[in-house]
Amino acid sequence: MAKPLERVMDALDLETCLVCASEEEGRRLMIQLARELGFQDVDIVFIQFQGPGVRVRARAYVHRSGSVYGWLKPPHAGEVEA
Amino acid sequence: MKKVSLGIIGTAKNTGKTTTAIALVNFLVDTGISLGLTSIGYDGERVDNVTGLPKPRFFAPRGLLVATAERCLPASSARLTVLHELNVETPLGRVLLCRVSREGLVVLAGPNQKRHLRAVIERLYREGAGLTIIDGALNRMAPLAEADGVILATGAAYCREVERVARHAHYLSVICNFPPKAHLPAGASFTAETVAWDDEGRVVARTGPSLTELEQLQQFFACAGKVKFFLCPGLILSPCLSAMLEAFPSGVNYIFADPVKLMLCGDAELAHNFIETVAARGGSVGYLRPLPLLAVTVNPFYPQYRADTNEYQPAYVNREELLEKVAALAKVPVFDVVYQGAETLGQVVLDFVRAEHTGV
Amino acid sequence: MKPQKVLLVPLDPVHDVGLKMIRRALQEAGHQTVLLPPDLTVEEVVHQVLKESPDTVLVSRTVGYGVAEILARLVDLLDAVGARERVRLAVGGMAIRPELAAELGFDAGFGPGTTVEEAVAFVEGRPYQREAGRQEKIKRDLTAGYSYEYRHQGIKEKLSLISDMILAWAENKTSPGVQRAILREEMWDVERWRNYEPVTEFFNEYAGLCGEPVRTFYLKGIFPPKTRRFTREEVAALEDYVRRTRERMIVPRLQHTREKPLVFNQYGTGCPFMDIGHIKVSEAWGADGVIHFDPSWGARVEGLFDGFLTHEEDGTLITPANLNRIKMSLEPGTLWQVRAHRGLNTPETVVLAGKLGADLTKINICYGSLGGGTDPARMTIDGYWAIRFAARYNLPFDVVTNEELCGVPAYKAFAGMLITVDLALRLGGRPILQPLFCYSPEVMVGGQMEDNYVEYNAAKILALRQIIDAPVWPGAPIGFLTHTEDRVQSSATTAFHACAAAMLDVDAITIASSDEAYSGGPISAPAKIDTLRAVREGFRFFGRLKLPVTPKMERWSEEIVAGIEKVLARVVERGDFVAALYEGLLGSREDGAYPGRNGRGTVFEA
Repeated sequence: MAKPLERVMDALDLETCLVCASEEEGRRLMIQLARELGFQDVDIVFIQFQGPGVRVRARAYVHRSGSVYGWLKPPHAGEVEA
Repeated sequence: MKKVSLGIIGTAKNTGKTTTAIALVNFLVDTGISLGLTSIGYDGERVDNVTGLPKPRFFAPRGLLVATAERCLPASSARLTVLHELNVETPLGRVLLCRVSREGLVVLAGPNQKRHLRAVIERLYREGAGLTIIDGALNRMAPLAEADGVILATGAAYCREVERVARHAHYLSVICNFPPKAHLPAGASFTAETVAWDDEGRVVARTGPSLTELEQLQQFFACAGKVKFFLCPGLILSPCLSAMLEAFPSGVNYIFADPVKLMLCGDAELAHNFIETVAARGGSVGYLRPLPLLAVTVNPFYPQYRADTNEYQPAYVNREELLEKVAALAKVPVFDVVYQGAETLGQVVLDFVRAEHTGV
Repeated sequence: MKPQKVLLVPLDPVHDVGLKMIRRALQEAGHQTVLLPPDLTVEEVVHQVLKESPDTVLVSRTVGYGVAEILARLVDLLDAVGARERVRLAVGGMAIRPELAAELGFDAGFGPGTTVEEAVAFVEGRPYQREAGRQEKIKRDLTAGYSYEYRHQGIKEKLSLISDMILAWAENKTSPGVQRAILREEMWDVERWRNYEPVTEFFNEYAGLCGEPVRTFYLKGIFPPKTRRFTREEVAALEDYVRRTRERMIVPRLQHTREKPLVFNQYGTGCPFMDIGHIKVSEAWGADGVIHFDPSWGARVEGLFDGFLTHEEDGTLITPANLNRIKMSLEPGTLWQVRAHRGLNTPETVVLAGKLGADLTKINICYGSLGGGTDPARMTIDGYWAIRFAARYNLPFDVVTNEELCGVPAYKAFAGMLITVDLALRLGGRPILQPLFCYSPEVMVGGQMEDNYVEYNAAKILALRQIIDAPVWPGAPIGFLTHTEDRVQSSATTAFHACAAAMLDVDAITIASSDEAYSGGPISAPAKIDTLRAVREGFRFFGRLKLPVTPKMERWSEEIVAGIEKVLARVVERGDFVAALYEGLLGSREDGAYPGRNGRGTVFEA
């Protein structure tokens, strides 16, 4: 069975609304969240703070240009693609 | 030597058709018999189209002949050498006849109608298959009327009440195996019509090949007293069956095309009662083309729907109880191939193949 | 074909809207339809089939647990009554996929997103679904139907004088870029190259015409930084990926009821493999064309590299193998633009694009000189030859006015664009006008977009249409400088600009991804999908509506036209186009345009 992460074409985005008191806090929480989910190479693509918290989108690049892409491997035995 | 085809029919989705077919292929491949394999549906997906639960998958040994649709080839890990392209279309492309040249998983999608299944079986025979196994799909069985014999797969996915599963298997067993091969009355010739003859072989009424509406029987009932032989070459629905039982006299000899037509009537219990009642009253039921039921396989699994998570999860009824109760009523050998293996079932099939070969 | 009789069977208690839409389309196509009431049993449906003897039966039903058996029973009964072999049978509904249709015993299955046309095609026995989708797109010539007649006499005359100037100036001049292009044209045989035959003679001369680091690459085999060749295994995996993807490809149209604009997407991740992944995504979500972006340093380096090369930074190297692999991965209906427009390899890029089968290229002398960093004299001679090669290879090209982004006002940038256009027409080329649809420094300062982004962009189009009958392809990408890192905002602004462009009846647009404003990493595939989906929704929303002309649009377009004429008059007065570029007549230092330095002193007498 293939690892699903290998099938990510390039980047995986995590987006949500976090309850917090400032943009700084929201940024910190989001990066921590992504790290806890196992992503090291994380960047905040978009963040907007308003009173209740932040609307935030974080990104982890799974495949960058020039690396070896998991999705180029042929599908595993019998995985139905039809 | 006569070539033989064997269909696996199911009473519902998830009753173990594919598991039975896989177990049989695995057993029979070591007996040296040349095997062909196809499906009237779609087999080999990893998870079920509806429930999302895992499905059994075909691991095909080298040398097996398979008939499957074009778009299943890239999804199969077995290497398949295409021998022939059939003029049979499916939603996944044309059906190709292939030989497994390197073992691996195969995805099967075969002919979806009776006429096409016939063509596929014939082609498998020509390529050398001594025994062709046809996996069913869901509760579909109409195309399998083309087979020489069938195995019934049933279980908790049909109904979670074990007693009902057993009774239903009993009904289907009687429908398949009790009525013998029938012959038209002397002097009558076959037409693709529903016909009633009197005791001297004179036609007293006729209508279209299938009986789907009671109205079609009115002219038969008008001369019910004269009816001695009755032929319906097509489908007959249960309201027509029960109306005939009431309107026709005792002692009528009923002829149907094959057991599948009665199994499809919509009410297996009623069809079973029809056969028994007719016999008890001194009449007979017979088929132009019999289709013996060789065995029943049972599967305790059923997908249980959970409304809170909107998911299906695997669930099971009591395995021993299911096997015991069905075995007590089915009148043919009953197996749980997952727990018992396929050896005894395989022997049943081999005996059948030998009997067909020798014409016994 | 003979009209078909179609029985429409809504087995779903509520959802027969889809069948009613299909019925309308079938009736319009001349077929006979019978729509059954929605509450029949399977047995009653079988009876109706026997009674009506249809050619096709279309069933709609959402499949949940237990429903599959009902549909299977319908198929079974039709087989048992002998009707199955006479009718073609399809099922549509949520959760229906071809695999499930096969399992149920139908001839076809239509899932969510199925179009009415697909169902009609099935009824008419035409190629089914995927095949039909693939053939749907046919490449369109953006320049077809345009006369290139001038509508403004004053501008026409001035452009003609300027073209005379350029032609006379260019007559005896050449540059290393021009020499490489001619060498590539004459000595590099694409068929020999495709057959893996050596092109040694070409390379022997070519290396001498290149600058660093390209020369080192040819002489010593040293790759530029962060660049490597693909391995054999990687290439095999790519070929397999392309083949498998192609089998499943469906290429939808975005334009709904409109014919145009065609929608272009840019690619250029640095890696041709990732590019191909992105291109397949763009195609599958409806892009009509894709545009090759090379690294920005590609414009500053003399010469092109060779080989199948990946590069870890933005922009994909222009090499024969890279372009050829990308070209081979395209769907047959996808337009392919290889931009040449701005640097030291402009004419050679056009030659390579032409030899490798590109559909379009991109050339602009003034932008290349004033915003692209290339020396004006060098850009003029290279641009002149690039246009000649584009004409020879029958490659239409857009003339983009990116100098607007530096701060050059639209009228000046347009004057420069029109100079390239007129020169192209003199040389037998087919130019396409590419005004920016952007929130440019000019309007930020001038306030023309204080209320809305529509009127000034529209005024630009109206102005160009007052001048010449030529195709218009706003870019690049539309909505430039209105995007933020928020993907919803970014997709929305792209869609709004796309709709304004569509309502102005332009021929094509180039759209960004929703990562346009994000600078922290490469553009991602989902970001491409975001804007394609947004644009599709916009086109669906507005349909064929037109944009009414407002008094402000009229006023601004007149001002732009007058401004263009004034600029052209000054160039004519100066009597030297190249000098006019250096001296800022087409965009000055005060505006934000600086004559480029790359390639200075490399133009010489032939």
